[in-house]
Amino acid sequence: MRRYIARRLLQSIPLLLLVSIVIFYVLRLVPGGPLSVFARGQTSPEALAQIRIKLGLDQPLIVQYFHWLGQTLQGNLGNSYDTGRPVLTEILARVGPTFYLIGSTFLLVLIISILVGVISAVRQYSALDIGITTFTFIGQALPVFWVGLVLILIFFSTLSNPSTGLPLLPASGMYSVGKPFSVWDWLAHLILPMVALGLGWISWYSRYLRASMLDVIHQDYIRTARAKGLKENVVIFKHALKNAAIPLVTVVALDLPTLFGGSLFAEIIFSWPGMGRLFYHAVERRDYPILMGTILITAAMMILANLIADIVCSYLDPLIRYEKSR
Amino acid sequence: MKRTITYITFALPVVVMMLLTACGPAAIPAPEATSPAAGGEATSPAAGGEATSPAAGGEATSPAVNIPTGGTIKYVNLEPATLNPYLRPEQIAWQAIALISTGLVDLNSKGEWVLELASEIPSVDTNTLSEDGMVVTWKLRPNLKWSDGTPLTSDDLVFTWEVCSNPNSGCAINAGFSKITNIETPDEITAIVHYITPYPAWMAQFRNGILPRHGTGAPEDMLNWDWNRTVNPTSGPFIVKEWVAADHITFERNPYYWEEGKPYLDQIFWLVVPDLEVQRQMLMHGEADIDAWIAGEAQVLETASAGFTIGGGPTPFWNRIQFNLMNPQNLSHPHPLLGDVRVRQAILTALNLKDVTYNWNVGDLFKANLLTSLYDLWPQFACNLPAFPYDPEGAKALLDAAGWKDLDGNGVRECHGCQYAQEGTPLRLRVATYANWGQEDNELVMVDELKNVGIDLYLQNYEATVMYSSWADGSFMYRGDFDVLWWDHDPGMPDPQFRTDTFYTSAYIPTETNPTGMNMSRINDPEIDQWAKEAGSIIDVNARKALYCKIANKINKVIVSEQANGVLDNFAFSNPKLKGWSVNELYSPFGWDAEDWYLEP
Repeated sequence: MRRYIARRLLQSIPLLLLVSIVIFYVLRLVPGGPLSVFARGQTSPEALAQIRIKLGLDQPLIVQYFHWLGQTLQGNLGNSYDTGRPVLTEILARVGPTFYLIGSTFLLVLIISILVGVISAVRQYSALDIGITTFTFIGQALPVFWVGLVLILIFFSTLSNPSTGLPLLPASGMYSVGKPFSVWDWLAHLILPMVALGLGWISWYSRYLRASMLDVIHQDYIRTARAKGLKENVVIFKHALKNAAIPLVTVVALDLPTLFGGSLFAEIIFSWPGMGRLFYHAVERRDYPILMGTILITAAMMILANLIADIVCSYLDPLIRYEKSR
Repeated sequence: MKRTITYITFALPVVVMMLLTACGPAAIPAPEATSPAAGGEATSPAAGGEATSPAAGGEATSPAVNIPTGGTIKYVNLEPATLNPYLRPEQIAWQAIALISTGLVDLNSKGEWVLELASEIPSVDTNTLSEDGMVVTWKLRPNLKWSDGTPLTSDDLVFTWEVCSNPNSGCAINAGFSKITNIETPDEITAIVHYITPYPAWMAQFRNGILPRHGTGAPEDMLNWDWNRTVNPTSGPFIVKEWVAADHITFERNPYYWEEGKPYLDQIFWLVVPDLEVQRQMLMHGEADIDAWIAGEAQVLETASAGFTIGGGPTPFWNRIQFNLMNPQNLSHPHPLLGDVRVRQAILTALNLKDVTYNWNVGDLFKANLLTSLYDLWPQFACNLPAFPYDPEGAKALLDAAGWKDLDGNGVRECHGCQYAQEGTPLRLRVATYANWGQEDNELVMVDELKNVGIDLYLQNYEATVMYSSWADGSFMYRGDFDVLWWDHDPGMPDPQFRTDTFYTSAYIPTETNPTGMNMSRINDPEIDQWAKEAGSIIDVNARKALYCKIANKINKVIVSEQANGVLDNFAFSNPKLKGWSVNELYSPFGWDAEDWYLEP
């Protein structure tokens, strides 16, 4: 297994290099440029020309790319055009909040999705299943930004805490600025973005698991397990779910990079200081160093997530392990 | 069963916590109540000697005994990229920079210069301004200190000049610095600035702020100075205590601020909230004290009717309908449709410019003014030329005379004997602008009004980053690939010379070899070049006004290359308990008077 992991990691190096070349050139094919922020203000054309040179934008693309690559190989992703700060500093400032939001949401989503998916499959065509199916279709159809705004209108603008008269839940930020640390405060700030973000995921994962479970629970080995007299919970959660979860693991693994990449809409609506906003802002400003840094790390996360998915799948399914070892 | 219990074990606490939190104690504590004297350090440790009336000739409020000091406010806004006053021209950056940076002088809301760090305004009478305008002697207030307690001296002015005259520094707001040949500093409070030619905007030279020699870095590294975010030390009313990226900036009172007893507030939390409607909801529900970015008529009216105070705005952004005088396909030839001045006149006559401009009016709260030239924004240079009258019939007559007639009856005129286009060419024009600046309704008004006279105007909206980028990045604006351009920019405060040069003179026509020029209409007029050059080399206000008005007159009546008007860019609202702030419509950023803000008990 160790050799397999090492080989996969080595294979990822040329892949990342290729990604970096493609992204570097594609970003520059996009119309617009990083100097646009200066053109409406009091920046003289002469100063603008100097800034262009200062940022190295006057160099041929190939020179710019190798300059970037040389810096990156030394662990320096460059400085943001927008803030002047190192790209890594900008990214590290956002990774924590993103992990907190997406990680919590992911955890909640997985727990609920598994429960909902299993119940829905076991009670196929029951009123509960139909209710869940309806709910998940709606959940999948609603965009995060819309759900977010509706949640704010309900829980911030309309409902208030009866004891204080203040909004029931905060609409913005990760915590109350200027107040001492409080677990309640942090959790309160997490609720609305987590719900807005999780709704779609729950719908998607639970539908996926339901379909997968329906395949599995009609298999012969499940009938055998029941015939052996095993308790239904053991049959479902130990035998059926373990196999039904394999396709879900792959899907979840593909979503894992959002742990790094964040969620743009939820972060904007709820003023969450995460990676999604950093990336969006960088796109808006054509902040190439930030874009290169975030995309490259996301690509690396994607590769890593796929590797993790393979490892988890081989754990869940000995047959896969057997095939690989051959 | 074990696994079931495991799942439940994970799920339950989260669900329980969510329920408890929702019903638990106040998630958000009450907004900062006014605490008239809480922590209100009325004394400043070593506020420079001038404890009395701070601003000779200014309108800055003298510390009054009955003004409550202390307290904290929350200010919702977007996030500035930097707080270095010489790096970014963006309004958001300037709203934050206004809290931490002070220059030698500033413009008050009446357009008068008021003293900040300078102790007197240079003048010929006091021998602090040479008659030819090439030597300016600035006197700093005695005993000025940076926020870290070190002396602020004339050497810091020299450093500011060294940075912004260095082409490798990345200084974006560097007007006039390259014209300085030398700054003498005979003592710590005197800086004698020598210009290579008379510089009419000398008064504004150090208006944006002074950079400290200590605590910053080498001029050529300015883009990457840590100081750009920490802004420590600084000279403004507030200092940055903390900046959490994308979340908030905490500003605290500067104990060494030059005006004794000010600022009145202890702290300002700048909350970074990217969604404008969420910003407004926070203001409406007590989670913020100032929202400096309310856009949209309905939103502005609702906020006003809820009892919040309008304290800022409108910001006079300059909104221009601009014609391309040259052929987008071949920039050395006249524009086939717009090359004839009568067509340009017809367009401006067919447009009810009041519709376009006054759509920005918000009920009875504000009325936009139809400014007819760039210079009308400066009281001392205002030309007040007549606007084109709204006269659709006159526009039709002009088009007929110019050889544009609708002979096929399809509602769009074609060329029948016109000056530059081929026979039969329809009078179809592309108006290029950028999306999401609230002009969509106005664009449709323009389309309808021009349709009435037989002009087919169609819209092409771009992303702002595309439109404003650069020649090298393919911006159609610089490359002249448009018929009609609709765009906005700041008016170039505090002096019109910068915009006069860059917008109207032939040296600033963008070309491949001169890609950053901003004469987008491609006006090439020797007289305008000469007048602009003269205006830029004298300091007499009346003489300059005469020259500017000649330029404005020629632009409006002879060349007819644009119609400019002021835009109400945004409105700022505050908690009614926040007092001491005033509207400054002269492109002083909102927050220009933050040292005067206080919370009423």
